[in-house]
Amino acid sequence: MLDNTLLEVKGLKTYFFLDEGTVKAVDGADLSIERGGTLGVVGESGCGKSVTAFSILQLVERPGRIIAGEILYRRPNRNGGQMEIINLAQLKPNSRQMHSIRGGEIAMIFQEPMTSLSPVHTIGHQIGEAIMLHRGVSKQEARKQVVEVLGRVGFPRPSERVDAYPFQLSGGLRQRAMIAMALSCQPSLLIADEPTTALDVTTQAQILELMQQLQSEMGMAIMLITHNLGVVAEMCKEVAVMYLGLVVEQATVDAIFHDPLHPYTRALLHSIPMLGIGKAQHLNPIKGMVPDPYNRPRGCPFHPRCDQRMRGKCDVIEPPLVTMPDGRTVRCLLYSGEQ
Amino acid sequence: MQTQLLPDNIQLQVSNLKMHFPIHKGLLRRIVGYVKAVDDVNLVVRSRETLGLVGESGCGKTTIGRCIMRAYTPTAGQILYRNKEGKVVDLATLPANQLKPYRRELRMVFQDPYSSLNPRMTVMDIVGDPLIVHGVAKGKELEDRVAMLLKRVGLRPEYMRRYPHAFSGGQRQRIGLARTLALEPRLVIADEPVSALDVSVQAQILNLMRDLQREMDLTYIFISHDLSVVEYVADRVAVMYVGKLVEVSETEDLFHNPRHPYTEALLSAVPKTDPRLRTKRIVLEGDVADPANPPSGCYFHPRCRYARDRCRVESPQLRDIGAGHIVACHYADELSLRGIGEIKSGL
Repeated sequence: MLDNTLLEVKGLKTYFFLDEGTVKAVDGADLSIERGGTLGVVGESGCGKSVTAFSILQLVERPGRIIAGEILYRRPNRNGGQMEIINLAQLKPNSRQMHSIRGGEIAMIFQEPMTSLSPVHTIGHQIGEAIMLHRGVSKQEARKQVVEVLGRVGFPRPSERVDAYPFQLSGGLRQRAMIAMALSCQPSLLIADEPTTALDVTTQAQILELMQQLQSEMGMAIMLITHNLGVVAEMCKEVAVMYLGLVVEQATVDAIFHDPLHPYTRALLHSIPMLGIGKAQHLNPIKGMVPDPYNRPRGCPFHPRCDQRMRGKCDVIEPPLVTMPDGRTVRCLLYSGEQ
Repeated sequence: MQTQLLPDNIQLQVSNLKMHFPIHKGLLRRIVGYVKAVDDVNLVVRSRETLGLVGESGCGKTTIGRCIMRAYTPTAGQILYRNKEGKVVDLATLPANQLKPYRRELRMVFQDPYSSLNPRMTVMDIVGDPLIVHGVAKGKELEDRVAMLLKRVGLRPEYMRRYPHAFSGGQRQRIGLARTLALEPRLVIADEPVSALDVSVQAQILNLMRDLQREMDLTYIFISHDLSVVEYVADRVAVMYVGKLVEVSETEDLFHNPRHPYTEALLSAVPKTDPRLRTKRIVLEGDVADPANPPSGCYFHPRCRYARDRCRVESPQLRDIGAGHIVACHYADELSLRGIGEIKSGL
């Protein structure tokens, strides 16, 4: 683990054991997040982006289980200021250590701000709860801190709005309340799962701007899960591309958009309309569709849809993770000397 | 049936369309106000073109579509439509019992492929239903027609007996398209047809819709909030804000030379898919105005960077500023606004 790495996921496997069979939602994912950096996680629905995030926080619900892999998190030691590395995958979901990390050091915001806030409690109550739990302060002090954090995320008249219920707020303000809750304890990592998908473009721009501003003020790292490649291009420093539970490529944002290595990354970029080109561009959809999660293809999971598949190799060999000379990683036989 | 004049290349002309929904309150359900979902909209749709209709949620895009379909009876205004025989009719005032022939010519594609297909009907029933209702085909012929339609949208006819749950989102949207096309419509209103789909599947559906338009001489009204999708499919684009049109123009013109500050802000807010083009976004302050209680003057003035005193009192009219570019802003001639500029594909 490099010195400036905050979190490293290695070979993570999270399976769901259902009556119909086993869904391998995450099947050997590897990624790393730098301290204070922004990692984008992109992929189509069902590729395991969200399950990876839930695994990091030990929030995978039964019948799901983390069955293999490491989630190494570097946290400051409370006594000396020395750093310690802990493996989150081995902690019990209900352990005291996990409770203090979840929400306190690693916080998460969700896609749908209406369903992830309680409709029967004021936002002040909900945010204050997190502060009281993790900081051990009194109710009055918590309320003061809530007003402060609401002001910080751009709530108009925070001292009045602290008593508002979620239904009294617009979608943009609700998402701001979620962000306020996540940031109230100054986490070192913020996991944002599709934070702007349910919002209009203009509101999306407001929220993205806010997240960037707060990141530069508070120095936290962000793991941004999205399927919107535009959001990734604007926000992230590093990008991990996921397909069927695997991270197929992780590289800097510039490399992903201008020199993608994995055939899936390339295909994904060719299938989205780019602003500014209009009718002149030719969209190349990826042929076929994401396979059924119950029976993943053998070998490389992308091979049935891949233009560059090699017969007798891609459908047999599971591609290993290859580290390129410039430090980026890719999972494809084209780069592992198999051709 | 009155005959009206409509230039030859115009398929549909909407004039002064208003759709106001009453707000009821109290025990007696008295009307205490109106939500002006669509307020005085003028719009033309040319034959065989794709008109993109964009705007934020709640701006009235869907309501316009539903008025044209006559799912709603508009409060006021005209919807002139040229039918198959070349006659012009006003759909806004046509009595309900005379609408049936137009239900064949005007069809709709819905956003959510999960809730817009009846889970208890087989694909055969779903796609074949309009054919039965309009007495076009039955029995063996019906089956052949459905098989042909499925093939046309890229599905295997053998799947005809299956239920919607057996299909993925993209395949369901294809089933929806097959149902839409069953009666050989002339005008198709597509309300966010790809918003619920994954990016790689979006491209498949967009390309399919493009091909079908060419093969079947369709006219599309394409409602979407995704500007990059609209730019890809639309010939002309209309931008709406709180129930009013603010700008209409050819797609390329509108995207590169917007003349309304709202269009400029919308274009600036779209995240660009190239990390080398990170620019300062124009961030609109506050929220969309409430259509039940809109601001005075120009509805956009509380959020507009260029607003002056006149904007607070006087509501701007839509006017033609040359080359078919229509805009509702007092200062459209003076402002120099930023479009998306030339973006070279990095791929």
